[in-house]
Amino acid sequence: MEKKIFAARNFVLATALVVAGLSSAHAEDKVKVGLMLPYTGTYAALGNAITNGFKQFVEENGGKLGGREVEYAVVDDESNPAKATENAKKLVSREKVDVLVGTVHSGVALAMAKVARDTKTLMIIPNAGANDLTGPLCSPYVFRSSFSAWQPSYAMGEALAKKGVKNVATVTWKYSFGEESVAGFKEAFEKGGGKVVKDMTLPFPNVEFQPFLTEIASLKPDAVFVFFAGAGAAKFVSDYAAAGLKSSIPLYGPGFLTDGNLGAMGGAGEGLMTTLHYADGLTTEKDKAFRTKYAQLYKIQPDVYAVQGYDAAQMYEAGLKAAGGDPAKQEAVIKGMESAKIDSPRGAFTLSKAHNPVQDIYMREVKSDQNVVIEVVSKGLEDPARGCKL
Amino acid sequence: MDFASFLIQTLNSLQYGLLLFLVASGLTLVFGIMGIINLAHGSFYMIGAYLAFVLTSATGSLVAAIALGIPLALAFGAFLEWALFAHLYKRDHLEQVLLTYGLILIFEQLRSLLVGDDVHGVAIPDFLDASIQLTEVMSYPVYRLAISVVCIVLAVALYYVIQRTRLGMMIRAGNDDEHGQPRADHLLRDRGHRRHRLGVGRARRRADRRLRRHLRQGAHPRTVRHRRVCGDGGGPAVAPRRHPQERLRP
Repeated sequence: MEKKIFAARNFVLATALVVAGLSSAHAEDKVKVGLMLPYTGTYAALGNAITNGFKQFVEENGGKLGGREVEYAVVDDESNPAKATENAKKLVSREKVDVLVGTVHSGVALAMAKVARDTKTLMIIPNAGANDLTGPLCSPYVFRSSFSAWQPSYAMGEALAKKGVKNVATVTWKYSFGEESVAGFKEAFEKGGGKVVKDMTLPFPNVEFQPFLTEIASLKPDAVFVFFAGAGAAKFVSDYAAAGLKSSIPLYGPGFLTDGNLGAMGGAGEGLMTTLHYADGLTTEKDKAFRTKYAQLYKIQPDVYAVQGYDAAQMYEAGLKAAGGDPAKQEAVIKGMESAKIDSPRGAFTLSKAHNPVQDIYMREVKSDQNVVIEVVSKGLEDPARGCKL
Repeated sequence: MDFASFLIQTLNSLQYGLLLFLVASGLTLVFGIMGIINLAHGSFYMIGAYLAFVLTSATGSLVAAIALGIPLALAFGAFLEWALFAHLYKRDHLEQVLLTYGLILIFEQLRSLLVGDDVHGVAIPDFLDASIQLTEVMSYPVYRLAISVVCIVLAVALYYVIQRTRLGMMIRAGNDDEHGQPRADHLLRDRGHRRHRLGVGRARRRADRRLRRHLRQGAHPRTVRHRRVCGDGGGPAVAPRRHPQERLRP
C-alpha cells in the first residue's frame, strides 16, 4: 500500500516536471489574447456569451490560433468607461497581449480603441456598435466583428419605405447608440420617401414610457420605430401592448428590442418585426454546427453575442494564418484580416476598408419566443464609415 | 395636444407620482424615524421585485407571491436590522453610508449568483389584465389603475397609523432630528399629550430620559418650560445649546 502511494507520488511529480518543462519551452510561442469584457453588472450575460463563443472557436481549432497555444488574460471591465483606459493599458503593457478583444459597452470600447491606436496594439471589438469606432476614429489596428449602430437601423428604414409606410414616430433613450440608430433609420426612410413625424427621447435607462405612448396615440403615425434593449425593451414592448397600440400602430426596431428578453415580455412581443445581422432559424450548415456545439459545451442556447465572439476568434485566426502564425508580424496579420472572408454562423462576411463587417441584414419576426428569420432585407450592407480616412 | 391627451397625460403623471411616493415613503420613514441613511434602498426595492418573480414562478400566482413575500421581506428586514443596522444608530451618517453602499454591492452579486443576469418579468394576474378604452387608439391598462389604488390606500393607512394610533405615537416619540438627538419639542409635546398618558410606557420613559439629558446638557430649564407652554417650540431661539461634539454621544 505504502509503495503504491509512493509510486503514485513519483508519477505525479514526474508528470508535473514534464508539464512544467513543456510549458516553459512553449511559453514564447504562445498567442496571448486579452479579453476585456463585462463579467459583472447589466452586461454580464453578454460578456460571458462573447467569451464562450471565442473559446468555442479556439477549441474547434484544436485549442490553437495560428498554430500556437492560446493564453488568456482576462479583465472585467464592469462596463465602466472611467476604468477603461487603465484596464486596457494593464493588458497591453503589463500582460503584453497580442490582441485586445473587447467590449460590449461603446463608451468603454472608445477608450480601449484609443489605447490600441496609441500603443499600436491589435484590437477586435466583439459588440460595441458606436459608429465612430469604424468612422472618424477608425484605425488600422481596430477591427469589429459585430455591427455598427447604423447598419440594422438603416436596413429597417429601407424596408419600411419599400413597404409604403409614410409617417413614423421614433422613441429611444437619449444616448449615442440610440441616437445613432434613429439617425440611421431616418436616413434610409426619408431617402425612400417616408417622413419621421416626431423624434422622442428619454434619459437612459428610464423606463416610464406611459407619456410617450399617450403622445404616440395622439399623433397616430403609420408605424413606430424604437431602439431599446434588455429589460427596458421588455418593458416598452409590454407597455406598448397594454396601451392597446400594438394592434393599431405596428412597432419596429433593430433586433436588440427582442433579443434575450422575450421570456420577460410574456406574449407581448409576439409578431414584432426587427432587423439584425443574426436570426433564429437560419438554415446554413455552419449555423447548425455552431449552435449544436455551443449547446453541448455550455448547456445554453447561443445568441448573437456568442456569434460575435466566435467570429472575433475566426478573424484573428485568419490574420495569424496570413502571417505564418507569428503575431509579431503585425502588418501581415492586419492584411490577412482585411482580406479574409469569414465563414460566420450568421452567413459569410468580409470586412470594409474601415474594418467593419459587410454583412446581410435579416428581417426577423417573433414567433413563440424566437426571432425567426423572414428574409434578407439588405444584402451585403456596408457601413458608410463617414469620416474614416483609411 | 388635444384635451383628451391632456387628461390622459395628467392621469399618467398622477399615477407615476403615486408610484414614486410608494417607493420614497420607505426611504423617508427609515431616514426620519431610525435616522439611517439607507443608500441600499434601491437594492431593497430590487429584492422585492425578485421575490415577486421567484415566488410567482413557484406558486403561479402574483397574489400568493405577495402574501408570501410580505412576511419574508419582514423577516429579512428584521434580520438585517438585528445583524447590521442596530449597530449603526449611534454612529454618524458617513458610516451608515459606507455600510449601506457595501450592501448594494453584496446584494447585486448575490442576485447575479442566485437568479442570473437574464431579464425577467412577472405576468400580470388575469383579473387585472385588461384595458379601458380611452380614445380610439389608446387604452389604459387596469393594472396601472390598480397600482394607483394600492398606493392611495397605503398612503391613507400610513397617515392613520402614524397620526392616530398608539404605535404611531411611539414612532413619533422616537423620531430623532438630523443629529441623532431627540427633538425636545416633540418629546415635550408627546409627554404632555393626553393620549400619551394612557400609558405608552416605553416611549414615555425614553422621552423622559431624553428630556432629562437635554436639561443636563445645558438646555436652560426656562427654555424647556417655555416650550411646554408654547406647545410646539417652533422658534429658532429654543434649540438647546449643545457643544458640537455632543452630537456623537448616545
